[in-house]
Amino acid sequence: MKKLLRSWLWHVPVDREVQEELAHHTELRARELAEQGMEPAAARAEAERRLGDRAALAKRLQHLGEERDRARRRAQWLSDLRLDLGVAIRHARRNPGFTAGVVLTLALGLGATTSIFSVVHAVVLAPFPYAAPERVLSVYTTWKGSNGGTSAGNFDYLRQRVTTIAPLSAAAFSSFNLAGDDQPERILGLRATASWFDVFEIPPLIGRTFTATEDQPGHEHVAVLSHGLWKRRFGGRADAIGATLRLNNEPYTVIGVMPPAFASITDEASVILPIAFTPERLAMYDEHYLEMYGRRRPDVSQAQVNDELARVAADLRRDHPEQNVDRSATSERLDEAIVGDFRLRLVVLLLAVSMVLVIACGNAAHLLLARLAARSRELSIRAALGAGRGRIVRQVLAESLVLALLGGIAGVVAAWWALPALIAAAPDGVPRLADASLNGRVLFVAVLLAIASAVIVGVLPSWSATNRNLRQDLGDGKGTVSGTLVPWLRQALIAAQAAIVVIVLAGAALLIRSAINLQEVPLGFDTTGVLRARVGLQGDRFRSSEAVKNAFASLEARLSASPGVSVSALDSQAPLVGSNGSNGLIPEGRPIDMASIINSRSHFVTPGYFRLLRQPLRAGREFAAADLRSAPLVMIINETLARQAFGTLDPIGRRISCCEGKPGEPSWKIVVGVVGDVRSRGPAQDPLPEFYLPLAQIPEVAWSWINNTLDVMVRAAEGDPIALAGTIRSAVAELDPTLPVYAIRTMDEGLRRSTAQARFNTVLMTLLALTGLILAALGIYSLIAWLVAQRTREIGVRMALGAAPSRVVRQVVAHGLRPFVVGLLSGVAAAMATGRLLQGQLFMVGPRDPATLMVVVAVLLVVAALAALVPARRATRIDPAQALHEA
Amino acid sequence: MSRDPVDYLHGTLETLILKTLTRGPNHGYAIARWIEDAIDDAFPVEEGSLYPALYRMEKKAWVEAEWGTSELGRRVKLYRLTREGRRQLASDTVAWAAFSTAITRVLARG
Repeated sequence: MKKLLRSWLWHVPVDREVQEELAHHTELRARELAEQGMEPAAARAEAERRLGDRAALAKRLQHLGEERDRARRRAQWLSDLRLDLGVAIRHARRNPGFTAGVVLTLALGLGATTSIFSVVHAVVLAPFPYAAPERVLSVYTTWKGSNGGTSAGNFDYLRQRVTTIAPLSAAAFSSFNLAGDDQPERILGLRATASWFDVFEIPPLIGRTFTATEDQPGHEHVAVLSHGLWKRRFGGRADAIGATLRLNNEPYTVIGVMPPAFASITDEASVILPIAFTPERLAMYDEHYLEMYGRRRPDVSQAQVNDELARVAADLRRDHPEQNVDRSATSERLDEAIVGDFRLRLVVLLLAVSMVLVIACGNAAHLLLARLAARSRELSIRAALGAGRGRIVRQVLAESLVLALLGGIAGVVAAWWALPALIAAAPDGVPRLADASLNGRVLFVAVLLAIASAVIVGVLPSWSATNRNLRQDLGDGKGTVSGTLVPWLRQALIAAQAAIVVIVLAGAALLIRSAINLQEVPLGFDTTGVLRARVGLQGDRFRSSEAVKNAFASLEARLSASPGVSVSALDSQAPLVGSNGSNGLIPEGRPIDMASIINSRSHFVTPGYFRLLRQPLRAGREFAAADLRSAPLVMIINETLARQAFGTLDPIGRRISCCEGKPGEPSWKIVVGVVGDVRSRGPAQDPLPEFYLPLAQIPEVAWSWINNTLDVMVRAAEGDPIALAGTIRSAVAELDPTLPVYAIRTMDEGLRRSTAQARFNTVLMTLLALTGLILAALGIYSLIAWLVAQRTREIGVRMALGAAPSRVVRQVVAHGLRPFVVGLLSGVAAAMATGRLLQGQLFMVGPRDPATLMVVVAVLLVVAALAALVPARRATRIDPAQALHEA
Repeated sequence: MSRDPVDYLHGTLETLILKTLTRGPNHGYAIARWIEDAIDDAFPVEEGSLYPALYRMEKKAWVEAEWGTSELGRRVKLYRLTREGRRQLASDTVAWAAFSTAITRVLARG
């Protein structure tokens, strides 16, 4: 301490120090020489001579002195810091309750923030694994303004004419039966043009990608594996190159393996095969099954690309008018196409998380302020003894920093624990979520957050610590931190917390309302007791559609006869599964052209279908065994389609053209029944026009649309339908033991999955809102407890003078709740403004729903009142005699 | 040719200063004089090396400076030995003894 003091008082500038020292030296030397008998002038000259080049020496000393002072200041700063940190750590250890309060509060805030940030980082922020991502495009043809797939003919047309995208490639997802040693496996694959690899410019991990020559019919039996399949099938061995893979019973030679990061682009496709368009395929402009990817030329803008696409599409409409009415083309960045839907949701979550962090910081500030009040005398004495304002601010900041770092560490640990839980709780289909980890960048942000909170938490208290009248503090024993500033600060904090909690809570409440609404929406069919599996018939035995048809018929017959099965049925795409096969329908009486088309979801089903799903028949009849290809072709439609096709007219007996007509040559089906609407895509989506054809009547070409794959459904006679999984497996194995059965799932499970995304968000928001609510309640509690402690003497006096305890309680509570209510009201206004952000996630509830906001306000008031009441009651137990004595 | 003793001094000046200051705080000139007396004016202590050595030792915190009053009644910078300085002197002394014994033994050999 003495050393510190001395260094503060040491204010002689270095140049004067040097000059004085040298002058003193020569003077003493000269005097000594003179005493030895030298002339005084000669002695001075001699002394000066012995000094040598005085100016050079002075300069050198000045330099050394400055260096010395710098080193000393550095050492001083470090030792101060050590001192401050030491004091801070001692304080933290001596007040374990207080420390735990601050650390847990921050841990909650930081833990939530870092884990959610990790998810946002992985899904939205992390760059995609290909070069120059801003130029990699997803290219669409559009139909009536909505993006869609492309036919091979249209792709070829665009590829030959579009100059701003090079290369332009096409790919189509397809599933394959992969023959294995024991169990056959169903895998997702991608058929792509050779140029597809050039778009992404990602080299294979080993081997090579296929060439333009291999992308020709007859040469296409080569395969590039995903990293996952390579590990699984070949144990990651290099000799996989050259091995043979049997896909749909055809041999493919493995030529390369892609790196793991590629999975985020290929949607987990396990193999990539050449698409090898045949000339016939390239002449087809009508089947829009391709996805296009391209790389924008570096010298053109995105707008130029889309301008050119629109121009070329106009030519396409002129050259191939029949298939391309209302069709155009456009493009967007691929990363935005992949991430787009999730961005807003995650940003909303991040916003909510930041708000909770702010509440947590506010609470920590509350606690620090309260501690400061308790220590105001100590700080005042230190200030009076000469500790500068800077020292005191730094001391308090050091204490906050220690607490924030502890909180930060606890937060990272909490996030490390919460992140896997978060990922596990997430629904399928969140892109790149599996990549989420507490990586270095995430940790960096977490540490930044901790330090930022230290500054937030530290600045307010230390500001107030130094903005005080010292004499007043020392003069009366009462903690005068309660002067004017700190109460104002604390009330502002409470108000801000209340406002933020309202926003977060209102958001969560709206999502919960939506979730409840979702559950109450009638789906239009009965999901309970139904088990569904997907079966695809591939291989030599199933070359003809007749063989496929017979195989499925015998499978259904076998299932119907199985014990425990009350009814079985087949569907090309069962509800809640998520495939999107649709056909353009033209009702009788409209002109046969593209403008008359009603796009409808297709179902190719067996007669037991409606009975199995308990989908109500509104008019007409169900399908019967007699509805064969040789009989009149029939169709059943849902109510939405009936309304769109025929308005108020009775649809029964009217005809609709679909599925196998040629231009100008409609293929009519007679409507024999109308069934109730079904929410095929889950409860959040409105019913679409849907139509049903008897499986026995579908045209041959339809089997290739559905890739010989059907959903097999059984309704259990009783109990859990999952028990019938074995029944389906063995029935399929009897048909052909090499056939895989996949996606065995109960309909209830399918329903849960269809709402999983919404539930995930709702659960996260609810957790956040509860965290915020708890933190805000703690804030109120500590404010009131502090008020009571501050006014112990006053309350004691009033009680001694006969004030009723209930009156005292009322007054204290009112004092604490006033700022809370002010904050609450401004929060309601803010919530009405921010609700818009949730619009896309809400279901049958408005973003400003007054009932929801009222419930939120009521809940908050009750919680706040309870939080205030506990410490306020303590006030009534104050012993007047003791309170007065202590004063 | 006989060697200039200043060559030997180089590197040991700091040790000599430390030794001087064990008698109590003192200013630069007094330190120089005391060393010159102690070595019987065998060689002069150059101001050009004394003061830089003192500043360097300040930086290393072997000595610390304070303002005092000189025999001329003027403000003067006094150097004082610190605990680190004392420790340094002890280790220098041991090292020098070992060094000079070794050199002496080598030179004494036939």
